[in-house]
Amino acid sequence: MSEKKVLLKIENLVKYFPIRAGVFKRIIAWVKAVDDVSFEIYEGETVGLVGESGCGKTTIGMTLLRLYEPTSGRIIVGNEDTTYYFMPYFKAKKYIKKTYIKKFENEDPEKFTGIDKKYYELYKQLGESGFYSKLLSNIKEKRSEFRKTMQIVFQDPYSSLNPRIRIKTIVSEGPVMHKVIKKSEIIDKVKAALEEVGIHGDHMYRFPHQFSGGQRQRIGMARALLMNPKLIVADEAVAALDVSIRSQVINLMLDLQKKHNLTYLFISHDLSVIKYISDRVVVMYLGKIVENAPKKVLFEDPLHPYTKALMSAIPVPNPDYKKKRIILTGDVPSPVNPPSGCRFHPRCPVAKEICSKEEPPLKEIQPGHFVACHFPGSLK
Amino acid sequence: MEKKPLLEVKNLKTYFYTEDGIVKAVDGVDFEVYPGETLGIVGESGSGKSVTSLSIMRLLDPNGEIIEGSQIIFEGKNLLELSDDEMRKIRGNDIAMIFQEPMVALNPVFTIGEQIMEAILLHQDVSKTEARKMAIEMLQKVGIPEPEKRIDEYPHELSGGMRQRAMIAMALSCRPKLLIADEPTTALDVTIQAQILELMKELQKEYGMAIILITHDVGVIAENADRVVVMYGGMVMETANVRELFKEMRHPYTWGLLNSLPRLDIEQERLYNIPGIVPDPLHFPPGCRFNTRCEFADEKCRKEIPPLYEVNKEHFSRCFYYQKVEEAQKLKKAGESA
Amino acid sequence: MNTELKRTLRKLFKNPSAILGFSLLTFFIIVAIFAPLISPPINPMFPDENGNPMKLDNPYIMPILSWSSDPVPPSKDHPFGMIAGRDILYGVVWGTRTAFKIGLIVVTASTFFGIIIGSIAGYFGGWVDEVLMRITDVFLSIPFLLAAMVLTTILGSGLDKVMIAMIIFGWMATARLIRANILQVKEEQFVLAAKALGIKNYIIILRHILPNTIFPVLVQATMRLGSLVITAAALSFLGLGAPIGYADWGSMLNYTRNYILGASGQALAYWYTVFYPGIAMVLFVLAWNLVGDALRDVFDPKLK
Repeated sequence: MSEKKVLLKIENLVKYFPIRAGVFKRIIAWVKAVDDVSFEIYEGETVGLVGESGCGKTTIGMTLLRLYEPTSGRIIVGNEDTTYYFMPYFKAKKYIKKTYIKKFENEDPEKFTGIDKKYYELYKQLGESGFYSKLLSNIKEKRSEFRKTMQIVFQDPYSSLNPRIRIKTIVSEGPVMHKVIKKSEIIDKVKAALEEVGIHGDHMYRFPHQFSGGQRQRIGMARALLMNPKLIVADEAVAALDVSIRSQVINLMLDLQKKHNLTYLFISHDLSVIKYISDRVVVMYLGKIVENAPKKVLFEDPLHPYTKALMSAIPVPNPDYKKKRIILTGDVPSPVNPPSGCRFHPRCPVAKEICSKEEPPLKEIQPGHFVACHFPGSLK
Repeated sequence: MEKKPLLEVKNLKTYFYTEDGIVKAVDGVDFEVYPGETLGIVGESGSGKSVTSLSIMRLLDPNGEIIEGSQIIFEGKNLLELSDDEMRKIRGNDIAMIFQEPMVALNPVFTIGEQIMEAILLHQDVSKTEARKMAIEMLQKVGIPEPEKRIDEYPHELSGGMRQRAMIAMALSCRPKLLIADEPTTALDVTIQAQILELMKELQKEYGMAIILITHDVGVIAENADRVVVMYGGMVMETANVRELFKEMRHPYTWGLLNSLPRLDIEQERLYNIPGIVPDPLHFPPGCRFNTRCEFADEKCRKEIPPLYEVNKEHFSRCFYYQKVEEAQKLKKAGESA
Repeated sequence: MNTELKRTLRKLFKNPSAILGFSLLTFFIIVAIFAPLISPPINPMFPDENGNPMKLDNPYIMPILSWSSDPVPPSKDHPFGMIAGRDILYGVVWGTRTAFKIGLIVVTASTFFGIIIGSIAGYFGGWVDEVLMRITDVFLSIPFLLAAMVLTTILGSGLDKVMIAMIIFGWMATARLIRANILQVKEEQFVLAAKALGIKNYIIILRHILPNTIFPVLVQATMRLGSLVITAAALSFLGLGAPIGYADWGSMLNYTRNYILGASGQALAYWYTVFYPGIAMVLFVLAWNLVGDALRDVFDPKLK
């Protein structure tokens, strides 16, 4: 694992949505959709992000692609901090000042690692104004580069393709804009991309409503693929499909991953799909990561009570399969007023006093196995 | 199983007349439900599973029609021959139904208490105060906390899981003999789904009612049904006792379906693919409905619709080659993994 | 798409009300185009030197053919009868042109302003939305007839002034509709996908948002086109609109004010004075409504 390159690093990501009310649309509360989440994605692996509705998994995907602006935190792609890429100029400048300049002026440079170290050297070399202009220059190219690196496939096969334009335009508009393909190549490239996902190339002149749900999901894959991305975020990409179609699309995604050396962030509520497709699994509950481990470890030895309960709740298509049922009581609380301490404690069968008071940090219990629980493994 | 069936569906055909042609949503379906058991009906979109349940309740859209010759016999009475008034008495009283989206079944402008009481008052001879007491009891039974308070809340004030519980309370308030649950947990999170399914099991034990559990989720079927009907393209493909179906399936569609599922209980190298797409109910292929996607289909399958063959007393398969299915699939699987 | 188009057309022409709508509309268009042939713009009362009837300078001013202002029942020369010395047929025929003129100009202009205001409010949201929508509310809260009267008092009466009033007070429904549609489409996954692809904002708006929001607006505009003529007629009837003698259905009804009740003992004595302009108006409104309905069926991809 250690020799693998980190493709994406999310640090302390926070995304709050305001709730407004009244005549002047004052902010009366915040939906704490994602609250201080950190994890890494290595090149070529599939990370499964699993959790129930309201846990913030979709928000993470959307924030990664900058369809939402993060409230705070860092999104590092490869060796670059991309957090400020889509901010207006002055906001971006403020971000750089807050995140780097202040740190460089006040903290011990010896302790800097990773991106901080890299940027500190730049800062020393170029001075403060040079550092700003280096980071803020060529922002258009940086944005374009970012879009080419990261793409998304959505859940709803019916809403994810514009019903009024042809498949050819749907698939090619992005790559043409970013000059990934030339205008003269459109037909050949679109044809090739469609055939790669199992759609007849001549169907590029059709409209979305002429395809079935599974075919539309394939077209959504082709659209992402033609950008030649490194990372594809698949947000519940197979959840809306029939069982017999779902396995086709899952297998297709795996084949494409091998062929193009893709990295996936596979967001799903379905643990069995996650188990099949992922190398590593991140389990979320109410805006927080509760457990993060390699797949094998997680499924053999889940340590967080929520992970265990989630696993036992998944119906298994085998009448002879004996499992211990853990039925959680109550509903998922609202992310507007999350419970104090550990957010899972009101539903947790093994919660103790400390759980309602102190929030458990995400600790690395074994190498690569992170758990946020005061009593990991106590739920038998 | 020498018991008398509670419900017998015989040769049920439900067609919809649309601008584009006739949709044969259900095309000759037979099954029985015995008292106290859970019959699972599993199928993908367009398989006709939901239309079957709506046909039993006679709640079809105006453009849908149950074709002459179909029979739905409940306790000896053919429901299709009853007047609308008689049917209304059966609905809610003897047969109740719960839906995927409780918001469809619950009226948003009445409190849940009013709605449950309405159902009780309609079918039982009790006073209003008694009905209210019964409604509170019912809410308690389905696990809604503080039922005295919740009874006066409106459906939108409840969470998804609580709404589903309220709907179950409403459906069960008159102690039906048969409960039809159409995708009752599909819209819910898995931990809530587990709660609801557990609740349904408990209530079934207590009331002794039969349940028809309609779902696309094979896992839910495996854990909750006693017997299973597998539907595809408006027809029954296979029906068997749940253990047998999952171990000794005798239809290629059942086999494909089970092997294309990602599973928690076993390690899987590669998922099986049923090739092709789910057929459009306007243009079902001639012959066996599954022949366009079946790897074993031959000329005969493309021409004739296979009958339901009896594998054993409670196992039927609509495949000409039902005796060979198991062997062929085993060979295929061995070949693939080799 | 071709088969799709054929299917849509087939569906359209299976629908009797759509057929009726399109035929009525075609009929009105033909009448408007061939108005000079059906009712030549000449006045035989004033022949020129060669004995030919005088050509009218402005064909929209109905020629006075008789000095009697009382209604004259339909006859061979004047099949729809006469009122105030003017031929009713002439008024109805040339009034068709006026109706199209009023309808098309007012609808085009008010829809245009509505789309601009609604789109800005919808795209940008926040306080821009808030301000624009409150302005819209203010306009909506003013009773239209009152506002039109005030405006024509300020600007002076006349058909063009009436049209200006109708434009100024006619954009709000469109603005609200397009704003609501944009708010909805903005959240569609294909718009998010386009953003994730880094597509430029104006392309997202032009290619992904507008085509999916504009059709309900067009349908609404079509339906409004007919009813606007009624509004214009109401204003003309009140004497705010077209000048005396103008070929306009509403103004023609203005003449009938004194005759609407008929003669004593004969309530229907002057039926033709109301009937012909009235029926033209009713059919015109009906035509646009039916066409609007038909377009709704065609444009809504969900109904396919």
